[in-house]
Amino acid sequence: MSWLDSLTLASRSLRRRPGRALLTILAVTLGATLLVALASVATSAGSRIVSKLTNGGPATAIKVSASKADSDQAYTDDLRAAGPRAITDATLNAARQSSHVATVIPVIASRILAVPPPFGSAATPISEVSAFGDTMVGVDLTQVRNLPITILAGRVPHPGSLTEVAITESYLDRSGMSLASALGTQVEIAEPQAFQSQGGLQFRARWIRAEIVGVVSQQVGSGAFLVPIEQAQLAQTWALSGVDGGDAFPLPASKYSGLIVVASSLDDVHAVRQMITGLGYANTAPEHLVASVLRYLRVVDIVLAGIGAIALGIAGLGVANALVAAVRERRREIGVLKAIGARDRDILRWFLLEAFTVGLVGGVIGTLAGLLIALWVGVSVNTYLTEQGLQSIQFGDVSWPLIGAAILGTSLLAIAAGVVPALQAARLSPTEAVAAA
Amino acid sequence: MRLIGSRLAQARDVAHGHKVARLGSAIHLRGVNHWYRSGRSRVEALHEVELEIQAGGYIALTGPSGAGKSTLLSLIGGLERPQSGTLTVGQHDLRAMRADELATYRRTTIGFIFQHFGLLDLLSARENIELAASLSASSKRRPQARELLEEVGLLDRAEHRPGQLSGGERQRVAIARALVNDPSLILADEPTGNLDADSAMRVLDLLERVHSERGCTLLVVTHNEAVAQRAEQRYRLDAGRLLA
Repeated sequence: MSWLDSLTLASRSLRRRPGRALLTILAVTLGATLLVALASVATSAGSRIVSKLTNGGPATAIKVSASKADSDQAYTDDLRAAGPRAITDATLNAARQSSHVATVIPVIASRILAVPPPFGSAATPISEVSAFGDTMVGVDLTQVRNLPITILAGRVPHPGSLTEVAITESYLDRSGMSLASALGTQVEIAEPQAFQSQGGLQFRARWIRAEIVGVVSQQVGSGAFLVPIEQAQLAQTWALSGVDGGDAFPLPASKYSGLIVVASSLDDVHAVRQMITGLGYANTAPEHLVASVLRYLRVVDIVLAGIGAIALGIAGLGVANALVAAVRERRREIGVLKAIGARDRDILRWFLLEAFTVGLVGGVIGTLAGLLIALWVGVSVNTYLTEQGLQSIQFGDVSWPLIGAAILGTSLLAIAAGVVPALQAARLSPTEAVAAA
Repeated sequence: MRLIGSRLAQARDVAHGHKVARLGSAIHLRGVNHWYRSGRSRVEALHEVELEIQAGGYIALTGPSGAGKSTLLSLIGGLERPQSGTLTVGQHDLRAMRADELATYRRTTIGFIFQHFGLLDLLSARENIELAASLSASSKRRPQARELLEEVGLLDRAEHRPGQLSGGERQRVAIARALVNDPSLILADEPTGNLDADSAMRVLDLLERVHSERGCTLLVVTHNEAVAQRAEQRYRLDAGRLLA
C-alpha cells in the first residue's frame, strides 16, 4: 500500500467520524495552545528580565574600565577600581585572543561642551545660555546589539556619521526638552583643546552641529551623548594636539576609556572576567545576578513546561482513546485489508498517519492560538504598565524554533499516542477480524 | 445481463474445450486438523481433512453452520495456519510460511470474495480496486481498475461509494477487486448469501465466466444447494469432517 493510499484512508477515516475527530483535534489544540502560550510568555518575559538586568545588552557583556583592578575584583559583579590604567591596542588584542571571547568593543569618551538650541540670532544671551559640560561616548555602532544600550525613541546614529548623535535622558533634563520634542532637533557641541598663551592657559573649540536622531538609555559610559566612535576619535585627536587643560579638560590618559567585552556564552563570563582581571583591569558584569535570575527563570520554565506537558499528555490520551475506538470499529475493514494482502506495516501506517494528521492539525491550530494568546497577554500587560507609568515590554516576538518545535512536538506526540492502538490493529488476526463482520 | 449471459456461454465453451489461458492452483490437504480455544475448552473445527482439488477446478463446499467451511476457507486462503497436517496450494506449503510470506501469498495468489462484500466504505468502487492493486505495487492500477469495472459492467458506477451501490453491484465490485492481482485461486465465502435471487445469479454467472476465462481455481462456500449444483465438484463438511 502506498503512502498516498494510507494518507487517503487516514483522512477519510477522520472525516467519517467528524465529531470524534473534531474533539480529538480540539484536545491536541488545547494542549498545544497552552504550551505555546506559556512558552512564548515565559521566553519573552525571561529575555526581557535579563535584558533589563543587562541594560539592553547581552547578558554576556563585561564592561572594562581604564582602571586597575583591586584584589577582590574577580569575586564581585561591581567595579573595583584602584587607580588609573591605560587601555591600549595591546589590551584589545590580548582580550580578543581569548577563546572565551566573542567580541571586544572599544569605547572612547570625550569631555565636551553642549549647547542646545536656539542658535544664531535667536540664541539666548550669553549670560543665560543653557550650555553645559558633559561627556560624549563613542562606540562602534555596527555592534549596537552587543552593547548595553536601550533605544527609548528614534534610533542610534548611523555608524561613521559625524552629524548625528543620540542623547540620554540626562540631556533632556538639562536642556528642558521633552523626549518627543528633542528628536530631530540639533545640538552644538564644542570639543575643547587647551593651549598656552601669554595670558596663561586658554581653551579653543572644534565646533560641530549634530542632529539628535534618538534617545537612549546606555551603560557604555557616563555621558549624555552617544556618537559613532569616529566622532569621539576626532575629538580625542583634537584634544591631544593641545596641552593638558587641568581639572576642567584634562588630556586623555588612555587611548580607550573603556571596553565592552562580550563572552561567547554565559558559562564563559567568569573565565573572561578572570582573564581581564589578570590583565590588571577593573571590570563589571551582572554575572552573579544574571546567573541567579536565570536559575529562578529556569524553575519557572520547568513549572510551566510541566503544566504544558500535562495538557499535552491529556491530549495524547485523547488521541490514543480515539484510535482504540477506531480500531474496535474497523476490525472488519482491517481483516478485509489483510485478507487481500495488506501487511502489518500497511495497517500500522494507516493508523499512525491518522494519529499524525490529528497531531499536525491540532498542533498548527494550537500553535497559532497560543501565539495569539501570548500577544493578547502582551497587549494586556503593556496596557497595565503604561497606565502605571512604567516602560512597556515587547511581547509577541515570533519564535520560529518554538513554532517548529510545537508543531513537530504535537505531531510526534500524537504518533506516540497512536503506537499502541496502531500495533493492536496491525496485529489483529485476519480471521478474527473477518469474523467480526 | 444479456451480455454477461452470452459471455458466460462462450466461457463455458472455452472451458469445456480446455482452452483456458493457464491453470489455477491445485490444492492438497493431508490430515489437516484445526481447533480453536474457547476458554479452557478446545473446539474442533476441522478433523483429519483430506482434500485434492485439481488446478483450474470449480468446487463447491457446503455444510451446516459451524461445520468448518469458513475455517477451511481461511486455511486455504492463508489467513491462518493449520495446527496439524499438510496444506499446499500450488507450490506454497502454507504451514511453513511466515506471516509476511502469507500476506504476499494472499496478495499474489488469492482473490477473496466475502458474503458481506468486504469493500471499504471510505473508498469509491474504483478506489477499492486500486487499493488492492497498490498492495502489489502495481504501476497500472488505474487502467486495471477501469478495465475490471468494465468487465463486471460497472464502469459508470466507478466513483460511487459502496453505500451507494446495490448488493449485487457491491459483490461485482468485490469480484473485480479480487481479480485485480490476477489470482490463481478465488475463494468465495457465501458470495450470494446477501443477494436476491436475480443478483445472485448474475454474480454466479460472473464468477463462472471469470473462472473459465482466466482458468483460475474457484472454491465457493455456500449453504445454497442450487449454487452448489453449478460447481464441477461438490464437497460437504459436517462437524469438521469432510464428506465427498
